[in-house]
Amino acid sequence: MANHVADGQFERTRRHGVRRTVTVLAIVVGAFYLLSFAQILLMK
Amino acid sequence: MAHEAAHDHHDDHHHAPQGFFQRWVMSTNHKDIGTLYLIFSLTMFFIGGSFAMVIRAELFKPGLQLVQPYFFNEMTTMHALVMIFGAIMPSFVGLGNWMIPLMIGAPDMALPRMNNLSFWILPFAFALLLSTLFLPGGGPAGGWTMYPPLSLQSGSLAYAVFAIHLMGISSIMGAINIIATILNMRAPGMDLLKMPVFVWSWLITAFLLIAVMPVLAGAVTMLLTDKYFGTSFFNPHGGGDPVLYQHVFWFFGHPEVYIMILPAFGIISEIIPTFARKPIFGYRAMVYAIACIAFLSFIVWAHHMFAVGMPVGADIFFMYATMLIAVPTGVKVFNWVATMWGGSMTFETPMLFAIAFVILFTIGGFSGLMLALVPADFQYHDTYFVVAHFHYVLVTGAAFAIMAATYYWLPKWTGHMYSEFWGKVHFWCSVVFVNVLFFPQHFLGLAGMPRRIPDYNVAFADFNMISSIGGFLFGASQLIFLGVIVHCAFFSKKKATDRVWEGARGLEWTLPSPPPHHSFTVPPVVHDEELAHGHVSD
Ligand code: HEM
Ligand SMILES: [Cu+2]
Repeated sequence: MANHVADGQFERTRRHGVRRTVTVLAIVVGAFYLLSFAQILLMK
Repeated sequence: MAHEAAHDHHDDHHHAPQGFFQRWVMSTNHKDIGTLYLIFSLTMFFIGGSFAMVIRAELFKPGLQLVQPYFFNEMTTMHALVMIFGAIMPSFVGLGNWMIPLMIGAPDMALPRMNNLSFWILPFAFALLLSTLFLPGGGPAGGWTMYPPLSLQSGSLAYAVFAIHLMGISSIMGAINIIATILNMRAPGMDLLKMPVFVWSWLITAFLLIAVMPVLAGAVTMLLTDKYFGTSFFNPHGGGDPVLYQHVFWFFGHPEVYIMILPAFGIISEIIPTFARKPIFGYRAMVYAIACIAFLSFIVWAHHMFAVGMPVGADIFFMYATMLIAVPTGVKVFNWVATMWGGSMTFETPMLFAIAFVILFTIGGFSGLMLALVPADFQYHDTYFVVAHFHYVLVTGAAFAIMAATYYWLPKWTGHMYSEFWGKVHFWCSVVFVNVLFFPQHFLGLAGMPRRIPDYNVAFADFNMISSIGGFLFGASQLIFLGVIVHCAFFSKKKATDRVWEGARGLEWTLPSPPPHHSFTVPPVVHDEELAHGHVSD
């Protein structure tokens, strides 16, 4: 582990991980909003 | 060593930026944003508290004395909205902002600029919401649950709906930030099952927020279109159904009450081991219990609606599902007690609040179980018994945990010790008066006094007067809290050590008090014996 920290590898995987997590969560939130608002569009 | 990483790295990002505007308005630093959240929520706590004082003043005696009924209804509605969305939730986000990066050895939150936006949305949202009190026609007055058709009568519905959208967006961005931080920013060696319970509780809470805030947004938007755009979601004349609103609202609403208690569970699970000088009993069970409660919170929502008349099968399902929550909750209470059992306990202010939490929150859990019984709830629904229940879980539960956390971490944040004497005064006043305030409300509810009314039958006079006296004194006691915080932040001469509390474990205590503006810029290498939990084999 110490080596990863030293060569910046850790920092890179960390940035990758953040990007991936945020993308997934953004899609999930988008889907939930869509589902919640779909009722308004479909049922009105 | 975590220690060395923190101390060796005294480079030029060490200091906070100069200039008030740069530092606070443009902030991307998790500690400064955490402080902003905490100051904001404390402000909201006092604004919401002043509304509660109006309510208790009017209810001091039967008959209408001080305020008009409509204004009274505005007060009950705004008190709840301000306390839930303005005081409790932002204070947990503030605590998370401050402590999660320190606890997992991260340099900051994963998305610092979004963090800034999440916070700065809130003052605007609440300015919008509170401004309705001064508009012609007044603010929302149909209760925080905003049931139609009543809520549709409010002239300021659109303001409230827009404010709620903003709060929801702020919460969702906060939740995404917290999940991204916990999943990706942990220092090497900080495995998921070595994280402090507080971090776990926030991880799970963040998923609840993501799942239910969009539902609330959908529900209030349907109110808006029913009022202004001619739809009939909740209007029987157009083929709609007002009960649909209740289902959608409580599908958000019940997980929402757990959003307000899970981080409190996390806080208590940090504090009790510290002052019992023992690792938490059953770390994994604590984590699994939180996850289990979070899951169950999605399948119990209709226990708020027994009185609307559902099919018997639905009544029974929601009754038993609700009672099931008592199982993981019981696991947690058992484990807190087992942590204290045989420990060498001391009773500093954070510990006093934590112990009061365990006892008084459990009273709230028991009254919840009574409300979960369908035939009993037919009687208790919409009475003061419900008010007593949710104030035990939210005030002596969530709010006491936030106070405990404030005393626990204040020396770490400010670098100075608070006054233990005045902390204890604040505790004893709070714990006595909160029971004078809320315990009689059980009796009022059982005797049939409805909630959300400005006037009542003379039969309820005595307990209401006792409750109001407790209310005024509890409210006044919170000024001591404010005094202790201000004194600690600006005037205290007593320096805090790095570890602050003898029994404290975890990465946050390896940093100086106060921690440098940028901490863990180089990830600490985590050793199990530094951790609060990892070295425990259970
Ligand atoms: C053992 C756990 C719990 C059970 C069995 C339970 C059960 C219930 C039931 C059945 C009701 C509906 C009463 C009615 O309106 O007739 C209720 C209301 C409520 N509960 Fe709980 N509850 C529990 C824990 C909690 C917790 C932990 C919180 C928050 C931290 C909470 C907050 C509330 C609130 C705010 C209401 C009232 C909502 C309103 O109508 O305005 N409860 N609870
Ligand atoms: Cu509920």
